[in-house]
Amino acid sequence: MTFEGYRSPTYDELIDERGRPRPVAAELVAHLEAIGPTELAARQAAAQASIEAAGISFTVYQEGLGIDRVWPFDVVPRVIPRREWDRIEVGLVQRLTALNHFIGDVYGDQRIVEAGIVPSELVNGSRGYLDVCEGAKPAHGVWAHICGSDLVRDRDGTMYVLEDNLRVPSGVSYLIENRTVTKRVFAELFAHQSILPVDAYPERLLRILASLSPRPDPTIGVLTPGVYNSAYFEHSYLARTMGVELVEGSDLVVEDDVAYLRTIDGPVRVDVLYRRVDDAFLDPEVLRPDSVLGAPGLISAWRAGNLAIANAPGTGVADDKVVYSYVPDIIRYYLGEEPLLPNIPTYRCVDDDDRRYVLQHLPELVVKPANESGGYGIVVGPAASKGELEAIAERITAEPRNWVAQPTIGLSTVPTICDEGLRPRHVDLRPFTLLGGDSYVTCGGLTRVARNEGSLVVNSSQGGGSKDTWVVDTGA
Amino acid sequence: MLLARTANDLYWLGRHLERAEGLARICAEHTNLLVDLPTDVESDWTTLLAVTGTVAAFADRYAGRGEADVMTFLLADIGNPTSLVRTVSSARENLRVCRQLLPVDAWERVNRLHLRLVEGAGCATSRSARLELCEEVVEACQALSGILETTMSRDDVWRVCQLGRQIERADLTTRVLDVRAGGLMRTGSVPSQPPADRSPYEEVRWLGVLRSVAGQHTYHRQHRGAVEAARVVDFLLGDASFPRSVLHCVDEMEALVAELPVRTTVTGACRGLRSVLRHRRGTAMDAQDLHRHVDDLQVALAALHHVIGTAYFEAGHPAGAARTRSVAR
Repeated sequence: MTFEGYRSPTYDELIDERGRPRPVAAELVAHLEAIGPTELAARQAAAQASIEAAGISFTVYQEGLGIDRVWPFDVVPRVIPRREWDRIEVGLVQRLTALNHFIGDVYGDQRIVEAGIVPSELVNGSRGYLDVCEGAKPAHGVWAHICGSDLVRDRDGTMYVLEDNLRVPSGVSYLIENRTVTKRVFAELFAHQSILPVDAYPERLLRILASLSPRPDPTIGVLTPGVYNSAYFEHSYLARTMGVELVEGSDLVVEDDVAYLRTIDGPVRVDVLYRRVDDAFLDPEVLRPDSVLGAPGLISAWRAGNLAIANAPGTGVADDKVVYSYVPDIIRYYLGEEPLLPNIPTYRCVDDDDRRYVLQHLPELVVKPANESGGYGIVVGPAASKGELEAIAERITAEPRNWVAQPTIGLSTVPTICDEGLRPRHVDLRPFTLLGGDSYVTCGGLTRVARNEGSLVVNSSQGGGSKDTWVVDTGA
Repeated sequence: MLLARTANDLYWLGRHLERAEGLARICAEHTNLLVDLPTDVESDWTTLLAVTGTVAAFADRYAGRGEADVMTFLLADIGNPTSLVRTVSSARENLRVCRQLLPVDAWERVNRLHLRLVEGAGCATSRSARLELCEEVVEACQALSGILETTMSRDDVWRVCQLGRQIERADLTTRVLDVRAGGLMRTGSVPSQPPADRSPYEEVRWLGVLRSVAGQHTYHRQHRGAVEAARVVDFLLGDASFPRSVLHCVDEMEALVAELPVRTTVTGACRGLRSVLRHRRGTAMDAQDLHRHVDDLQVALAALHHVIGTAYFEAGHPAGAARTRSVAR
């Protein structure tokens, strides 16, 4: 009686409001009922053991033997109907295409500012804006080649885009590894239904990266900050599965605007870098002078067209919560289409009316810094103390450009293994979208799950877990 | 293509894996030896410290010299950078850097071994648990060698990793010879004693020397009958067909270096090592002579290790002229 009495306080991805399985999850729920709670717990333990043995981990700073923490995983998958996913896919590509037009325009003629769609200070005063990118013309006109959007589903079942992560989003390796583990644990279920595969990503990413190269037969590298970076596992994973070099800043040397790798054979020219190093650390000549994670001259090699960098420098300008609020207008302006995926209504504190509303309604809103990622700096109104609300009100008044606010979104739940059995826990979803010579969206995405009851915090750096995500073709 | 930085970790991966296997072997062998020796024959555990070059480091951390302390120090002590648990952990950190270049199974193997040691190396004081642990380590290392041997391309990744293994192997064989065999010999030019005059346990001890480097079986196939000191020394230094003899390691390293990017310093150091090996000083059965010879070999091995570092791992510095080379993938 695994699901007996299971009720979610909001929209649940597997079980409807009357406690019946949703059609797309019927097979899965029947199977979980059939094996029972004891067997389910055994499979959860087996999954965690195999993750540990395979060394699927993320890095934390820790003294002693080893620096990694086992990737937290819950074996009960999240299920999405294929028909819904097909629509989301198109919406994600639409969004990324429009955002790339926007970035190119921002570093070019700024037509969108001239047209009065976005205010000049939004882009020109943005922390993500890099002077060195002005006038650059990357291949295919694409700046952000890899995007890891965060999607959330509200109480009524609507899927919203919560964030566009256009800088160095991570998680895709876990998405693929979660599937590998699930196949071991629930092998029988894969035989009976059509669950779309997720393992094409590295090959598609490689194709996109190769399409950016200035030369045929390119040498390609994944640029990592190194083994202490929290996503190092993923950098290594992607280098291996694409069969490209895993590069650190110290491996690179630039001479006459051409970048080389230091190999045992001497310097070898490199054509494309998939960098997992933040903009500010890419090139100490132009950006942060104290950085050892990048290499001097990388930006000028990129500007000279001798080196492709993905994502291109400067994409952070579009990865800003205030810019986010303009994305529907950005889509309409560049593509002449209506947005397919809705935005969460967003109040811009820089706007006088919006700010007044936000300051009056703080206890019911989520306040976010405009330019942070990883869930840092967010104040959740309903959960905040009086003192926290007063502090955030002061900060908003002092620097309105740095803050936005949104209504609290429910975040749907998925049954998750807890000490007391299966309980609803809140999830989000991070699909990965690729854009270059062509486009690609992962089948589903990485489902991140909050571990504690009622918690909305899903980041693995803050104790969140993960689930496999099935896009199921029911033929319907 | 092989990045110089990654090559360094590959080389050390090879060294650390070989070291872990060697250490597990000599600890298991020494424990087994006790079974064959009568209780009144003193068994000196500190010879293991001498073999691993950790006499001083041990004295810094432990007051006693007994079995429990020595075994804990060598197998389980996290504060000892050369302990088995730390050696495997270092191999795992090296592998973390070059994981993308090696078979997926290789990481799983080393990772599992690491987890096993972190959890179970504490049982080093119990003889049976210790033997079991050491056997598991040897098995895991052998399984890993099998994975690498049967699935890796014979490219620079393979060669650099093997180079690390071979130099470590040669180093270990010379150390075992120096401490274990040297300890069984006399100083001064005394010819080999006829078997009848020997202590009844001397043969057992010489067998132990061979077992420390997994050479017992091969030795017997080549030299039937009693184990003779001079033959054992010759066998471990200069038998061209035994994979753990110094000569065999030198042959292997020269073959590997011949296919790596040409570096005259490295080929020179290999030649130097071979020449030391060929020109042994003094008589075969004098401990002092053997000790000097091993010293010379170790100096030559250290020189080779050093030039490998400068020739390959520091290659491609900005100081070097940039050379454009198209690399086919």
